[in-house]
Amino acid sequence: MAEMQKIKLMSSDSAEITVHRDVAERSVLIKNMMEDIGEQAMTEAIPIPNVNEAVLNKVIEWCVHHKGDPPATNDDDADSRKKTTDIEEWDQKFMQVDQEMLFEIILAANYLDIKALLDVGCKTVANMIKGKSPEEIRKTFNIQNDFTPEEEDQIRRENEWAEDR
Amino acid sequence: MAFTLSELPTEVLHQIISYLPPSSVPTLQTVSRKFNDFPQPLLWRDHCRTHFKYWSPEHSFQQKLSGAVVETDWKKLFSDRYSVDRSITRDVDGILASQRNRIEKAERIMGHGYDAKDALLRHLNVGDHAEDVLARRFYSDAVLGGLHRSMAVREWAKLNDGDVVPLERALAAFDMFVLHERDGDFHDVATRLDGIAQQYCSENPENMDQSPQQKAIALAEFLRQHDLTGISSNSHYHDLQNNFIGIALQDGPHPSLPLVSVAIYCCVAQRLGIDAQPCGFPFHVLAIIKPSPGRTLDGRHTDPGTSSEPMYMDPFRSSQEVYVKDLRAQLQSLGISPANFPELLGASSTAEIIRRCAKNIITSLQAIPRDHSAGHSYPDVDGAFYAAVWAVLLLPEGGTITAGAQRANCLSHITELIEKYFLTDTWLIEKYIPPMIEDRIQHEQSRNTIRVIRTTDHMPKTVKDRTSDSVRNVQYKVGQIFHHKRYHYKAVITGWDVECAATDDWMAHMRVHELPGGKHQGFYHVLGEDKSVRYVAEENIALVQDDPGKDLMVLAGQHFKRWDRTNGIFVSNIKDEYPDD
Repeated sequence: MAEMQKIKLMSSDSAEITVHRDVAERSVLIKNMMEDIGEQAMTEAIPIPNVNEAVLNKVIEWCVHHKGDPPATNDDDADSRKKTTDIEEWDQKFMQVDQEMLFEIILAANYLDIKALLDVGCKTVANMIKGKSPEEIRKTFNIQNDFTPEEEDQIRRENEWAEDR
Repeated sequence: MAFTLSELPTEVLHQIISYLPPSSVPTLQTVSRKFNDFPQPLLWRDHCRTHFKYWSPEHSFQQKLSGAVVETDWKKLFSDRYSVDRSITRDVDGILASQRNRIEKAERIMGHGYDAKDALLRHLNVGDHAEDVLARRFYSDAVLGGLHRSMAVREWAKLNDGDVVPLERALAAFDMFVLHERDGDFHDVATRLDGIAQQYCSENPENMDQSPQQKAIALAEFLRQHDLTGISSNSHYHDLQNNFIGIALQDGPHPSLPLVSVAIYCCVAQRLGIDAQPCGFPFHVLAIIKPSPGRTLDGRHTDPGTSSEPMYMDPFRSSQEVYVKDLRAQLQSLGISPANFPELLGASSTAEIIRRCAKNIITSLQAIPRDHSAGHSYPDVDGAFYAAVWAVLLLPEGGTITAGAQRANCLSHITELIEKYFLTDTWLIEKYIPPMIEDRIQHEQSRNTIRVIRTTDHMPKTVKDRTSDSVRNVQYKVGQIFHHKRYHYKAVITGWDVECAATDDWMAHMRVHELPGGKHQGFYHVLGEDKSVRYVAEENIALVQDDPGKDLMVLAGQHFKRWDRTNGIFVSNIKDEYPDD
């Protein structure tokens, strides 16, 4: 009856959230933790000190939707095809959040070790950078241009090859 | 406090950047110090590896990959290749945009060597919906073919200069002539042979302790078991593909003629430390295996100074040793003088094997029924024939009286084929022909043809618009498909004249005066689906609404951008010549 088991998670702002065990185990961190502490985990809430309630709920929403996904394969080998930044439709919608939430989700996925969610987050950010000019990127992500004009000129010359001509 | 992009953990930033297209990375670097200083040790190496498959040998790319990451400036390497790709794309676009200076642009692309291949393949594999899909595929294939052939010709020229060229490389040069976008280039052939040798070693662990004789037999057995030598029953001996080592080494059954079977056998054997070489026995190439100095083939020591006997194998037919007394008996029955036995039973030079392979190809081509020679078979017959004549031209048989005539004959074929199909090779003939041909007349004729090709390439096309009244009798348009009323072939119109503009001789020969319309009617330059170029009177043209068919679709790229299905016409890419068609 493993799939019926429920466990409790405790967010950084002390909210208790109940989830199915197999949903929570999309997180490698939680999965390992449960293996380490065993049955005790079923009764007490597992603290997730780095993630607040709003973000944790969002992450769980993603895990519920992707509960049936096949386990991630290790296709990081050198010969794998060029990396694609395609994102499936549901995930695209899921990632339509403000930038703050987007980064929070990425950080949570990184902390909780949910590789597929981290991938989606990183691809989303990559897509926001792609095709933009440096000035547009600064604007989008609120980054200060901290180069001196001379430095900027030199860097631009170094990277001229990549400009659209 | 909310996070910003720059504050994400380094490993997350790495991942984000790895998802960026390479050309976006420098842009990100120009955003702020943080991103400019961001360490990317592996990123550019990965981009080099995933974006480019083919590298010119001077990069020693494989060596770089196995070296330490910091030893190579990967970003520089990537940006250099990226810039090469861009300049190639500019030249491909230029070739498509105008009929003028096409050869010059093709030569500039080929000047990048094998670095040009990735970009050319990208253009060659352009999607069906591209606005100029047919032209793009046609010309990138033409330039890629020119690149492959230049690499092949260079190997044969080196061989003729007395340089050492590995047998597999000299033979794979034939493959380069018919390769197009397929696998099976020099590198693939060598890698495949390495793989076979490795597989043999792992399946025969006792290999190390065997005598050369035992190894030679075991290897022949192994190759036959894996179908790597010989011809299975459902393949014909003279099938053109059986002459190509690269094709024989691809997946699937591997039919090959004795010459190619022996070459595969010898190349693998050499990798295993066996001194095996092809032996040019009449009608059937064998392998000769020589003992190492001071040893016999069964592994015994001999007195220094005495040479022990070689052995012979016929890997095409069997895995048994062939005995020299049987070979001598065969030679005797062929009426060959024993004085010539040593030569026929000795190892052949690589040049001899290449000449023999060229002759085999010509024999195979003669065995192909006429009606099968058209279209786009693989390997294509024109490419195969062209390879064979280049081989004979570059590797002449020394000393014989016929050699000079043979070479002149080859030169005439090559010139004709360059003019017809391989314009990108103009520089090859300029580079390799001049010093080595005795037949002055043929030499002069070839030079003239090449001069004309060059001049034509540089000249703008004469514009033939339809503004003048005299053009009104020209009914049909460039791009229309028709059947010839009398000869029934299918072709596409590629140009026209208001009346027959051919020479009087041609008109007399073709009996133009017997046509009801005579010479004063529209005459059309046409391209047939069998690759032929013809000149047709308007009265013999019957337009058809058919689909052009596969062959014509490929050939049409020479003059047309794409097929317009709605209007049943090819879209012209020769507007610089026929602006109103």
